[in-house]
Parts: sequence; structure tokens; C-alpha cells
Amino acid sequence: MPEGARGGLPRAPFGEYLSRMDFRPRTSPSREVAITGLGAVTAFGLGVECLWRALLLGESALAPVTLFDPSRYQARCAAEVPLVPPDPQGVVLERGHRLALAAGAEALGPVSATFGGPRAGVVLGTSLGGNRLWTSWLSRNGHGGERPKDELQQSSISSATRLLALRTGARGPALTLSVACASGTAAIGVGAELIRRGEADQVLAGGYDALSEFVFAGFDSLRALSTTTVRPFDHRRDGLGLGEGAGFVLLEELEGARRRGGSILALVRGYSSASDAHHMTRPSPVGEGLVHALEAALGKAGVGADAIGFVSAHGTATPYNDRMEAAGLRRVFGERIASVPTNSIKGALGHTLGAAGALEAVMTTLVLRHGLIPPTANLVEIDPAFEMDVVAGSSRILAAPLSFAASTSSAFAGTNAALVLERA
Amino acid sequence: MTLPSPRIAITGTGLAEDVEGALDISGIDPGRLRRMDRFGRLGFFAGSLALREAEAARPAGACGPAHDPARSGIVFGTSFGCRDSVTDHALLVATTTRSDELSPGLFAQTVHNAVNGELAIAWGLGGVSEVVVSGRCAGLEALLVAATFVQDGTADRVVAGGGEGLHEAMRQAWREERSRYGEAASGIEAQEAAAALVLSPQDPERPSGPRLDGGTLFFEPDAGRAAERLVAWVAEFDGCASLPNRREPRQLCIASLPLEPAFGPALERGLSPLSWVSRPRAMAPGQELFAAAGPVAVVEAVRRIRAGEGSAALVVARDPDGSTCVVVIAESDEPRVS
Repeated sequence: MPEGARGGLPRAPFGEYLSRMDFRPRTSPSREVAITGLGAVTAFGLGVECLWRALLLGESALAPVTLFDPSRYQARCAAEVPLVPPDPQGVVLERGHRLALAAGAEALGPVSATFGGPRAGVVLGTSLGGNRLWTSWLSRNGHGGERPKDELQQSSISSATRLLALRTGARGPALTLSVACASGTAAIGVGAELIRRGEADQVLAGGYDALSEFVFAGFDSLRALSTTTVRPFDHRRDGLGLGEGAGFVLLEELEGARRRGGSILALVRGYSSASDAHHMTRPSPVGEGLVHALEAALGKAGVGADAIGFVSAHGTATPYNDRMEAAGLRRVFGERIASVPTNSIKGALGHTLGAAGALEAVMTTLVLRHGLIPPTANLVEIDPAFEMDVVAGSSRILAAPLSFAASTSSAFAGTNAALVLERA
Repeated sequence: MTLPSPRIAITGTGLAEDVEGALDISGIDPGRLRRMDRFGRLGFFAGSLALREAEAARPAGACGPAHDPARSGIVFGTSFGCRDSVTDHALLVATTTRSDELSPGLFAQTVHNAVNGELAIAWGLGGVSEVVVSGRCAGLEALLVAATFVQDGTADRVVAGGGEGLHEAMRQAWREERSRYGEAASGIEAQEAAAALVLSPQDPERPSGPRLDGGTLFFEPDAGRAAERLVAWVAEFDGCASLPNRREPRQLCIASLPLEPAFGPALERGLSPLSWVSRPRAMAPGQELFAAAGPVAVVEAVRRIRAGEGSAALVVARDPDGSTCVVVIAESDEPRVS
């Protein structure tokens, strides 16, 4: 990163190596965080552009599973990435890690030439991490035979973060977060907080997960997978569909990004997480954790719910989740929820687990930037109990630019997370 | 706008080393504990002990509710999380022929935030919830992430720590992995444990007990350079009045087990005037506690400071993959303005 783009931080000997996570009383103003790059690998293909185009057209990528034989399960469909980019160096074994490397590279874009060093960080969210390689190691354990080099090392939950830090040259904070389906949202929120506190000037943040029989079997055993069509917020919804992918954002301290002439796509204004404290797999019926997470994120952003012009909902299409979200959003927005445009991209991409929140943040950034809201794929008739403005059918062109939008995630074990983004 | 931020008080500590002993928690359904993943059970046990100690330490006659659920959170760190359950579920998927032979309850325990869910349900903690899974530093990193939530006002109370629960397959994997570290790691066995602390804003009227004053985290694959950065950070950090002054005899430096030969000695040289405690008492020689090691060491530091054995402590964790983390624990004194 150019010296001049570091926001004038003091530089003592070794100072550039130093993070200042200091919990003594302090008076320094917090720093603004900009999103300056986006990256995505999804079942629609490689890149943000093909994701955005397909979302605007209301397409769905859910199709019969090909990665394993699903015949013993009730559900048969998922949204698979058609062509997982190969690792340019040919050493990355894990499918999910290759998704992360490709999406991370897109988010960095031309900044990759200067990204790195002690003021650059990497924060990733994943639900499954290296589970596929761990499962593979287990299947060979005790049976001898040739094992792929580094299989065990790459099976660690944090190995994708390490890979990205190594390859980008980031030597600041390198964190991996895993709060199930809220992991991608958490990674962006915590990454932004590192910049706000002065721990880093640039953070590559995002989430990823690859489809595996491990997770397909688990959701099938919970009877959570749709056996028909994934229809978020529809009165006929009968479950979720699984997907895979990776979504990334490049976060930068706002003034530094401006000085280097970067494109300011949106601002991260608030983040929080919260627990339902209710049940390990069923969400709170009144959306307790969602309400607390969203209200805390709004509080950090310094805006009220009335400022939010769009909500990217978790919208898995399970009966429980969508009902919980409708209840929780109504508690935050009141009667106004009936007129706040809301969508879910899980009818299009399936539930991509650790990638979901990050891909939704990518989509929300594009909504703020372009004033277009993609429809909720497969939603035909909204559940009449919800009284929400869920965008369906075709994309909505907004009459006036949005100022603020929220993106929410809700996960197993009752973890919820919310981001508040502002149009740049 | 300038906002004064509070100091971070450590109001409770908990340590769990015996997964079966964790079943004996009064008031908690043993059946529920038995269904938990080993990491989840140990984390739940350590977190519950820390919360109980914090409750007991509440000043007599304090007014108002004990805590606001929405402002009470959980941040845990782990290398492997619920890999114990992940392993069992993976083996079931591999060996069953019908999906109805799988266990939905087991699958529900395969998310790494299961410990957060269980603690949240049992203790009514509805605030922030995060799980850091960045290898051996994750436990200390969880403490730093938790402290940011307390300092920025999102939470009044966060139970934070780290833990590991091990499946037999994971012990076998460790034996394979330790060969990476050469002779130095020979005979070191993987061990499960969990430790937790309760972090709260320090009451300016009662500045007593140990505080979490700061720390740093970074990624540096080169072990020697990582030690150099860490020593430089300590020299620069003025968060604890005594730490830069290495003549102070009651300072402690507690390091979890750095496996790389280039790291530990370099760190020891750089910080040599400190009273060096390379391993907490809770960690026996020849054990690898992974991400639990950092929080176990912090609990040790807090207890030593409370016992008057030291005035401040540095606790260091290092993952040979490159992550490096340190936290500073200091004895409370009169409020100071920085």
C-alpha cells in the first residue's frame, strides 16, 4: 500500500508493524470504512457481473446434484458452482478454498499490486472450513495408501485465511470466524471493526463454503431441505436448497481509499451479532436475536430503522426461518415493514452457508449503487401472514436513490448477525 | 466527537479440563450436557464457571438487574471447534445407507458456535455471539474481539475464552501433524481443555481486580520476524505502566507452547527481564492444548495477579501457520487518563 494512503498514522521505529488494540480509555474518533472491491464465485459462474445479471433476471441455479449421489436422500437439488477455478499454483486441494481464492482475487482487483504488509488484514467466515479434506483424511485413516500432500494441514478450519494471507502478503490481522450460516456477515462486520479501531487500513473480508454430502445429509436428516422448489417467503415454501460459493469485499479506511483514488462502492456503517438464546436449530419465533442484532447494528450506524430503504433478508425458505424473520423485522420496522423492499437470494443461489451473508452484502452493495433490487427467485405468492414488501417476479427500479440498507443472517445455535451499509 | 471508553475488567474466570467432570454442573440438565460435543461441553463448563464467579463477585447491594440479556454476549475461540461431532457425523454419513439412520441432533452439534448457543440458552445471553477459529491463537483473539464489543458499548458483559475437545481420530491426526515440528514436538500429546473469562466495563468507582489492557494480533509466517514484531509491540505498548519498565520484578510473561524453535527463544531473549513463566500450572509438560492454551494461560495470569504474585502479565500464543497474538493483563490501579 502506498505510504501516503495510511491516514497519517504515527510511525515510530517498528511502528509500521504495530497494531494498537488498546483497551485503555481513549478519545480518538473512529474511522469510516468503505467497500472498494467486490468478488463472487457462485453457481451462476465466476465473477460479480454474472451473479448480478442472473439475480436481476430472477434466475435460479438450483439443479440436480452431481457432486455425489443424492439418491438416498429426500432432496435431490442444490446450486453447484459449474466450474471451480483451479488454483494457479496447483497446490490447493480443498474445493472451498479454491472458491475463496478466486473470489478474493476478484475483490482485490488492481489493488492486489499494492495490498499487503502489516496494515493489511484478511478476515474470512466459513461454516465448514476444511471439512471435505478432513472427511477424506478420515476415510483413509488406518487404511494406508498414498495421501495428498498437506491434506491434513489444509483441512484446518482456518487454512483458507492462511492461504489468502500468504498469497496477498497481508501481515496484519488474519482472523477466521465460524458462526454457521452467519459467518460471512460476521467476517465483514469484524473486518470493518478492525479498520474502525485502527488495527488495519485494508481488510479482505468474505465468506465461503463448498457443497458436500456431509452437509447435505445433515440438512436432509433435519428435514430442512425442499423436495420441490426453494421459494423464500412463499406460502408454499417447504424448505431450503443448499448451494456453494464465495463472496468477498475489500474494506478500506475511507480517507485512505479516497487518497489512492479507489472506487467507493458503499460504506459499512454498523454491525452486530446476537443470540436467540432459544433453541439450537429452531429460531426464536419472535426473532429475538435478529431484533437485537439489527437494532445494535443500527445503533452503531447512528441511524434509526426509518432510514433503511432495503433489507436483504436471510430468507432460507424454511417455514420456521421465514416466519421468524417476518416477526423480527416487524418488531424493528413496525408497520413500515409492509413498504420496505426486501428480498432473499436463496431461491437463486441456494443456501451457501458461510458464503451467504457475504454474497448478500455484495448484492446489497450493488443495490445501493445501482438503485435496482433483484427479485426473490421462485417467489410466486407471498405468505399472507407476513405483510411484507418482498420483491418478486422482476427487478424493481427504485424511484429515488437509497441511502441505507440492511443485510441480515440467522444461523444454527441461534446466532444472528446484521450489517448496515450506506450508499457512497 | 470524542467518547471516553471504559477499561475492561475481568470479573470471572473458569477452567475446565475434564470433559466427564463437566457433567456435574448443578442446575444444568446432565442429559443436555451429555448431548453436547466435547468442545461444547468443556466450553460450556468453563463459561458457566466464569459466569458464576462473576455473579458471586457482584458487589453486595448493587442496584438494578444483574444483567441485560441483550447486552450479554459470548465470544469463543478454538482451533478445531466441534470437529468431534463433525467426525462422528462424517463417519455416520459414510457408513449408513438411509438418511433416516443419521442423527439430526448430532448434526446440530457440528456447528462451531454450538457452545455459544448452549451458553446463551442456559444463561439467557442474548447479546453478541462470535466464534474465532484461527488456529492456536483463536482463544486469545477471542478475548480481544470480546473486549472490542465491551469497549464500543455493544455489550456490558461478555463471556470469552477458548477450548478444544478431541475425538480419537483428532489425536491420531495430531501425531501425524507433529512430525512437521521435528524432535521438539516428539512425545507432545494433544490435550482437551477450555478456559473462559467474563469481561465487563470497569466500574470507575471500584477499580479493583485484573484488567485486560490490550493486545495485538498479526499474521507473520516467519517465526523469527514474528518474535521481533511482538517484542517491538511490547516496547511500544504503554497500556500497562509497568510493562515497558522491565526492571519491575513482578511482571509475568506467560507463553503458550510455541512449537517453532525460532520463536520461543527469540521472544525470551527480547523479553528476558520479565519474570518468565513458559507454561501455566494448568498445562502439564508434553501437552498441546491448541487454542485453549492462550485462555488457560490468561486464567493462570489473572489468578497469579489476584494472589499477589505479579502485577501484570503478557500472554503469548503463536501458531506455526503464522498467526501470532499477545494480550496484556494488568493489576488495577487508580484510574489514569491517557
